[in-house]
Amino acid sequence: MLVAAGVFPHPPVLVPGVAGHRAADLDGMRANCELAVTRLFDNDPDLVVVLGGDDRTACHGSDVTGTLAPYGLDMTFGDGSARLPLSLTIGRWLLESHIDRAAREFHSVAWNATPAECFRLGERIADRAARVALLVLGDGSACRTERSPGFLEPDAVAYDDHVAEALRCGDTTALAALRPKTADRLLVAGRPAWQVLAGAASERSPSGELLDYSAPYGVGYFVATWLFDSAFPSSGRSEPDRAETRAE
Amino acid sequence: MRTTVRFRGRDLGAQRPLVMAIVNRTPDSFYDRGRTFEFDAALSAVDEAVADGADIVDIGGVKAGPGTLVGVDEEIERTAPFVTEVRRNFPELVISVDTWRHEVGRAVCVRGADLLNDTWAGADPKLVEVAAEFRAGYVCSHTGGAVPRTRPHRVRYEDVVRSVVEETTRQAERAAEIGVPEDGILIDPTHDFGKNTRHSLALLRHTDQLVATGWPVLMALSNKDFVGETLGTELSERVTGTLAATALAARDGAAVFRAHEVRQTRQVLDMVAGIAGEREPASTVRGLA
Repeated sequence: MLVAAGVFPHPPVLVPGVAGHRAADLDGMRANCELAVTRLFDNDPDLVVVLGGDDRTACHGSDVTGTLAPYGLDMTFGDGSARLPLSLTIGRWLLESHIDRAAREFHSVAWNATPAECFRLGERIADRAARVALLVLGDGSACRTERSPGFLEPDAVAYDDHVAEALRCGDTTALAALRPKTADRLLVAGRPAWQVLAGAASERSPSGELLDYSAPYGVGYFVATWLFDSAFPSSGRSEPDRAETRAE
Repeated sequence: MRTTVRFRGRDLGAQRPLVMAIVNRTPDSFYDRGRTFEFDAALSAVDEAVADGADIVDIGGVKAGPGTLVGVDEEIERTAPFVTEVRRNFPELVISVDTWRHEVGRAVCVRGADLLNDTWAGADPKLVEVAAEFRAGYVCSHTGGAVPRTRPHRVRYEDVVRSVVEETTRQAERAAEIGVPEDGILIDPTHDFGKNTRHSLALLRHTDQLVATGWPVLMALSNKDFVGETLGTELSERVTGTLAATALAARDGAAVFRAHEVRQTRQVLDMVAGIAGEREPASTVRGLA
């Protein structure tokens, strides 16, 4: 059962040594990330699941290494045998100072997973332990301005605003309904991971808080926490049907 | 060891590294920002580049980065008549055109262009066929598969140098197979295209590995973002960093340098050649009178 979730950005520049003297640009966001990670552990999870997008859906276990070498940086986190994709590498880095506080697993979800597939994966992840905390890596649009990596798409900021509101409100329905085609067009890296979160939280009543929402380099970044009143799971699982309906 | 390069019979030899002057017939390119968009301004820029020591002029009709769409007809209109005029003014000058479209390549080769600078790495596979048909030169680039006019976003390489060597030599061999003259083929690691700053720096650090392929290496470094990020400088303060990169790449054997600042680049290359003992000083009277 899910007891807490956090949503985090996963650009390489989140790691302080990456950006050189511009590292300070993200100091505030890093502080909010640390706050959100701490809240996950404050809920006494038996298992922390780190979840992010990749080319394929896979469980990497706990014996893992994250590396930024493919991005030209000699930085690694952990010394396990499985090599993590970027999203989970940043997740591994976020856990660095909490690494021995709970058991952990690293799961990737395919960029092209359908909303329904994501939702079901979330349900399975939530069932992996009595008290599961989910660390979700996902970014908004990279097409927010003419200076964005993906240049300007006029609806990108509105899209990110919609996601930010869903994260702030703990709105699983809104996340489950995000359309893959739109997310792909807007270079949104978070869509599958957020939809896994929606599945994992589907039986609960999330109390959301949006700790950060900004785009200093033209890509939407979010930091949010979802906490749950463990005594009163909400009823019904309507979201999978909705996700199936909206899948394209 | 530099090899002889020759484009449609115009022999540039192997004696010294070459300067390819950038002349953009664009209103929006990142550095010149439309300064040579007008036909006459661009012609003056060619005159100046030749006077400053350019061996090649590279004419562009579409800015590299994202922005206003420029159709095939518009790109031809910007480049082809201009090639005609430059050819008329400079019968022996090597004229390169920076394009990824085969229709543009054909239009400019008909009018006398010698070299097709395919900066987007064969995004249009027919472009190299045009080079072969006209026996023109061809630049083999590396973009990591990027779509033309897009920026890099979290691009990753297991080994960026190996990726560049493999991709550019594969293209060069393919170009030669289909009839592009071997001595008119250049390989270009294509700094900033599909790469972050650390990738671009690694490619300069390992210039020797590119040179060791045996294909002449074109370095297009001029005022690019990787220079600005390395020094923490804005666009107006990238010349010094560009020239430092130019000097080291020249020392390691790169053959051609695409540049905005032709005169300074020529001086750097001559100085490097002087230090290497490959070029006689222009004069040596000091202490010898």
